[in-house]
Amino acid sequence: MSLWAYCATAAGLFAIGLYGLLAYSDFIQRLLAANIMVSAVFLYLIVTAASTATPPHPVPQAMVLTGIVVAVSVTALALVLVLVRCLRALPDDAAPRPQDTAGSADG
Amino acid sequence: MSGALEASFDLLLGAALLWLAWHSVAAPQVLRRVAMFLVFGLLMALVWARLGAPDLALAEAAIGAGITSALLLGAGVATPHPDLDGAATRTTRSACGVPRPVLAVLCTLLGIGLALVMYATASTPAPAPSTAAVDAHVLGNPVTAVLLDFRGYDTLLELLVLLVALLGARVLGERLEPVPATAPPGGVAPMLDQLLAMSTPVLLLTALYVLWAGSDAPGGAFQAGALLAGLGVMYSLAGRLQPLAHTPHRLRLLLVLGVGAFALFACASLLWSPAPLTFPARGARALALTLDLALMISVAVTLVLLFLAAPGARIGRR
Amino acid sequence: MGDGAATLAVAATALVFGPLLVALIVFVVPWPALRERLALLVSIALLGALGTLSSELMTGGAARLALGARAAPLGIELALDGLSLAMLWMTALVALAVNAWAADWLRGAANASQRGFGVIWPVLWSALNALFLAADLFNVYVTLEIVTLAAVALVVLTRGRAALQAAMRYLVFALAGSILYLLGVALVYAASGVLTFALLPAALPPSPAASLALLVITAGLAMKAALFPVHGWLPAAHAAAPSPASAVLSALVVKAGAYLILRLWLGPFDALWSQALAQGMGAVGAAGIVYGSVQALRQQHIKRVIAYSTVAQLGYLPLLLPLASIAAWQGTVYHALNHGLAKAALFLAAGNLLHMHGDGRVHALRIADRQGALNVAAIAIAGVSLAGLPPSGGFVAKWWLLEAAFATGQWWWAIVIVAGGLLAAAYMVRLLHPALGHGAPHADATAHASAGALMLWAPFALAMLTLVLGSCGNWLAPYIAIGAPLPGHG
Repeated sequence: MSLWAYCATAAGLFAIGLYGLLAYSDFIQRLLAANIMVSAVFLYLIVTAASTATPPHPVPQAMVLTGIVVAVSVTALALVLVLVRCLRALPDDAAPRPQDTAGSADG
Repeated sequence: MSGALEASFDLLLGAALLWLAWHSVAAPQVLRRVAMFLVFGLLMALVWARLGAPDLALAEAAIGAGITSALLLGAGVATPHPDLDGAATRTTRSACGVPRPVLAVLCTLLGIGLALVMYATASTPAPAPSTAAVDAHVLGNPVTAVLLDFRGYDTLLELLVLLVALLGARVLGERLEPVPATAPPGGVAPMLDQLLAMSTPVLLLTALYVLWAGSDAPGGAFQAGALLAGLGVMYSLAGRLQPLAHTPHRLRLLLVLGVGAFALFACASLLWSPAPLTFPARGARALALTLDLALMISVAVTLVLLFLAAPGARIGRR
Repeated sequence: MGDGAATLAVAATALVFGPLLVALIVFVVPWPALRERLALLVSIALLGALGTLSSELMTGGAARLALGARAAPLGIELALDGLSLAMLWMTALVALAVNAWAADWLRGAANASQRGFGVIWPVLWSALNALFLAADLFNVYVTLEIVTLAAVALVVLTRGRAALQAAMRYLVFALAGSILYLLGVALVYAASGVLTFALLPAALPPSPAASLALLVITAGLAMKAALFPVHGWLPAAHAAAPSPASAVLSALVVKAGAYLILRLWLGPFDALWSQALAQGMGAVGAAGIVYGSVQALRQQHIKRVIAYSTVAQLGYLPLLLPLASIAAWQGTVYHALNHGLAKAALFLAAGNLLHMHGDGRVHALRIADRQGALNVAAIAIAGVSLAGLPPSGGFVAKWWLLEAAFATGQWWWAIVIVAGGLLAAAYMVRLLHPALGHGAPHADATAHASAGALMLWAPFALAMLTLVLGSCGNWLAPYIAIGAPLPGHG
């Protein structure tokens, strides 16, 4: 296993994801970038584990598995937010804005 | 020499990953971005297999590439993206204020620095804790043993993350008109029905096998749950799964099955041990399988509802 | 250690799984009466659990528990010391008040967003308890994710356009924060092979990787804790959520991030930072105090004033890092505790105001009747606590912090602390001015709904508790310091 290739890949993926997160304002684009950053961190974790033992230590594997599920959960909720914002006629709302003169209703 | 061959293979994988990642982020059309991301996920699964982590490979393919891309595609197609010609991606202004070329340079420098730090730590890693206890565990698959027993608390919490995501999605969908289902505008392709007829038994059996085998071989409840969720996504795309604006009672039970089983186990284990979440000396395999089953069902149902972006669903044609 | 661990095991199980079971039962069982009462009953029961835990801590000292009887570093550990216990008490008391308030709020035909609160809030509550007991880096990550997602779900409860905007902004910040934190955990694991707090100081020697880990973890947690300058998501999000949700978001959720920064800097990462870096963190806190207070003075809507006040008050917490001493530790813990109670009281009182009058603008605060008077009294007492006037807990906290500042010769933080108190007094007086300036009920103030008894007394009780805290200061001080990882203390 070529350690330096994988470390370079992980760092490169993180950098690409960071660029995507900061450079673009489209929400779904940023989500994609965030998912790539997360994959980069997981890659680094397993690469380190794989370089010491074969097969890699189970604790980082469990961490990455948990992380994958957490990532899909966050992505799913974020996408539902986007869908609802773009597709539903939302009530003109409840929340006070800085120059708000309308009242606020609670729940 | 096998060393040079391995190194070139790794380099190729790495380069492909970077190329795909760049296009997932920067390609002008949302469809292209998501397609690149899907392939990125599959290649990542290959990397996990290469690094000797088959459970991760299964999970990445099913959840990271499969479900995530399905979610992204559904949302990407359904929401308006005015800049399909890519004009927005060719400006130099960025969302955070720093001009894009400067940002690119900064990110490159950061990447190089990070690569150096990563390589330094990975080449002289600290000794990992001994796996003797894991190897001696009654479950043959060390990852499953760690997930359910050693770090079962994290697994319970991770199920809770999934449930909370669904609860949030429910809040947005309850008692409102369901978001238009993700069926294609030209109607459902007739091939899809045939595909569904063939895939349903295959996927069901595969999922159950992955669940069963996960105790001693690569596999597990999350991967199995994701496979079932994939089946559910296909049903939805074929128009056979209708989103509802409320969550039926039976569905609620299925959703909380995973967390509930773990929570009951945690409290009950205080009866035979001073600490919660302790596996009993006897019946550990049966307990693990029960927890896995509950987990699989909850994960599958939750992921399908998240794909539908609706609080509930029922099987049947529109 | 045996008995202490046993008590911790039962109490921890009750604290984490009690609220969780409430959430599951409320979700599955369709009885409205259950929804209103169950959470309240459980929060009263959990006070008992905390009581036993407190007596255990006071007699036996700090405790650790290996979950699943699997010892670290393979297994997950929970840990309890004075700081954790104080945070758990804060959570329990705010939870009790919020559950009591919500019992009235949810009465009868609750609408969708109110029912959503009844299911999501107990999950958040359970996750907060889990977070304050956690002693493992990755476990913290997962609990923090639950807290974040539940908080986002609470922000969108009203399903209005601005709420969704605010929630999406929150999610972006929180996501970036999670990724940075995860990177830090990966670096720490690669460099040390362990994740448990107790084992990290020995296993993690200073190195570029360790310093980078500290930096990214702190940055990630700062985003979740809305420390200046990454606080941008907070005012909109906390103002857009329904009032009980805003109460728990400001009083508890943002504290989680700040608590973790303090816990990590003073515990596992103790050898990795220098006094210069600590002064930098203190400067970040000071900037937050000033910026938040100034912005609070400019807002037109009550909930926005209170939200910016949160940004300001959270700025006190990083001051512990340059002032590292027992007095500063006690002052910071007391400040966090006091702020939690006072902020929850403010938001619940603001909720009463909106419920009764339907108008949340600052200049609309009026005393229309006895109910309004009780409400305004709650706001006033909470304001006294936030400004740090005697005899409130805020005064005691500031006193201890000032003691620490002068004892370590860092007089510049004393200026910041005093200025922060004055600015807090300023925005609270501005908030109360319309009500206090007009003695008799104003003709404009028409109550269009009456608030239930629990809704009125919950914020008042919380505000009074901050005064009780003020008088208990000297008695509680040694217990807060149990397990404090500071020089001269075990």
